[in-house]
Amino acid sequence: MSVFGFSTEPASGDFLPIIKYDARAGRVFRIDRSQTGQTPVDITDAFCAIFDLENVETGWMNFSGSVPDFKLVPLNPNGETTLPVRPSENHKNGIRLLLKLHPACAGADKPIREFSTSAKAALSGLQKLYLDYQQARAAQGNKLPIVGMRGAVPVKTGTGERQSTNYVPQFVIIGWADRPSDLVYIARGSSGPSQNALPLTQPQQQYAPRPNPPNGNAGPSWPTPQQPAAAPPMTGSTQVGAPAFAGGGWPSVPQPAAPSLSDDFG
Amino acid sequence: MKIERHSPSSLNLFATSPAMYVMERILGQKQAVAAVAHRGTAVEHGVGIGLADPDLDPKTCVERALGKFDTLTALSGDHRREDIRKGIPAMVELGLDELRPYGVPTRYQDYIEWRPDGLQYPIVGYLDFAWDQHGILTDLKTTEACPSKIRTGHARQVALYASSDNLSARVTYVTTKKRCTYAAENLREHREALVRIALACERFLGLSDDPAFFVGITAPDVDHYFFTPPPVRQAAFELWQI
Repeated sequence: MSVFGFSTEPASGDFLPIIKYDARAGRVFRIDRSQTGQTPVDITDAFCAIFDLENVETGWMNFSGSVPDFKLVPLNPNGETTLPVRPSENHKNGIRLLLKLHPACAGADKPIREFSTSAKAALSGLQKLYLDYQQARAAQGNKLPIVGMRGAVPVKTGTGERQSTNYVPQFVIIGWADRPSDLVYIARGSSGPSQNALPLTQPQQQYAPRPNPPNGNAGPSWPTPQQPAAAPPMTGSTQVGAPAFAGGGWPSVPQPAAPSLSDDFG
Repeated sequence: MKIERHSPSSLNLFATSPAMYVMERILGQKQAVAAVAHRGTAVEHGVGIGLADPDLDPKTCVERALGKFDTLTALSGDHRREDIRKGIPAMVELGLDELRPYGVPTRYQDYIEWRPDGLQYPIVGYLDFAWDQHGILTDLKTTEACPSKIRTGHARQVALYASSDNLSARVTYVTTKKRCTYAAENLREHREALVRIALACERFLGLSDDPAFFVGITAPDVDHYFFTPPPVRQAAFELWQI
């Protein structure tokens, strides 16, 4: 509340604060909004969040305009999802979901974040995560996965001057948690199709459920710092070259504290 | 016994050979550094000069590296000294080929200090090269053969450096014929490994204030290459009678 008797914080309507995944750098950023604008905070190393994978939305999104434009439908967890009409050629396949950041990477407030992406590399990492979730969820009741990020794997596309490298995030389920009381899925704004809508397009990816594990109660429990990892960490065997974005560069960001999973999500 | 800080190399040493840790860090019997270790310092010196001045002729960088090596090994009795020296020019040139495309580093030999909760002493080190404009750091290693992946000790080392600025960490290996750079993975886990080793080390150090005590609770593996040089082998025998 300001001295004027009303909030001078940027109006957000039904917009939730967001996180972004930069597929060209393999980094996760928390976007903090303030009166002075948006500040990206790199939370890659400390990234940990409860993902609401029960309520993933899939469809079309367009980030090329002044504001993002979404045309999404709920992802059918049990089979094929029919996508809505593609609004324009600028719209790309993408997904949107809500998550709750762990206090170690959530910043001062606003741990509930929206995560939407149409980047192929990010979708590839999220698909793997979703399949892992589908495989394990039966043993977890109504719990949601606690997801960490174990680096990113570079994937090259194109050839010659058109070659580019993107990084597939290695999301892993490191535990399970009851749904936090503030992580509430509400169907949000989804702008209608443009007048130049393209014909109905079938989904490019089928999220076929995997069979459940034979032992239904074998799921992981809340992780703690003392809980031993399943395997020693890899050191890195991916050869890399000089950055293709030489001369550009990322903003210098403060180092977030490493997450302590003994804390809960509030 | 005056230990006030840990470093990735001291912790890796503690993990590899507690006996050598006792000899060097607790008893203070620093062993002569093999010429191969000075090679790394010299190559890094030459490459650093060449990165700071992109127009500098690689031959000048090589001369500076050789000068550094000669200075460091002036009193070395290592019989491999000359053979090792011969490899330095190629390593410097390959290092420049590998790292000059990154541009001029914003930091070189930058001091890093980390004080994790629960540790009595900080973990410190010096990162080789950082390009803050790209969010990248790398540590330059000279080696006889390019490994197929980052060695664990090196991963712990760059994990420490990356923790200070949230940079993407890499390790660059150069041989006399090849060069390669790997992206380090699982940095958090490798930092945690450093902390766990440091905790074990501090528990070990906490057992006594008497340096001689630690000789009585360790034993050297005298076939390990740490103890291969005759002076080191002799020193180990005098300490442990093994």
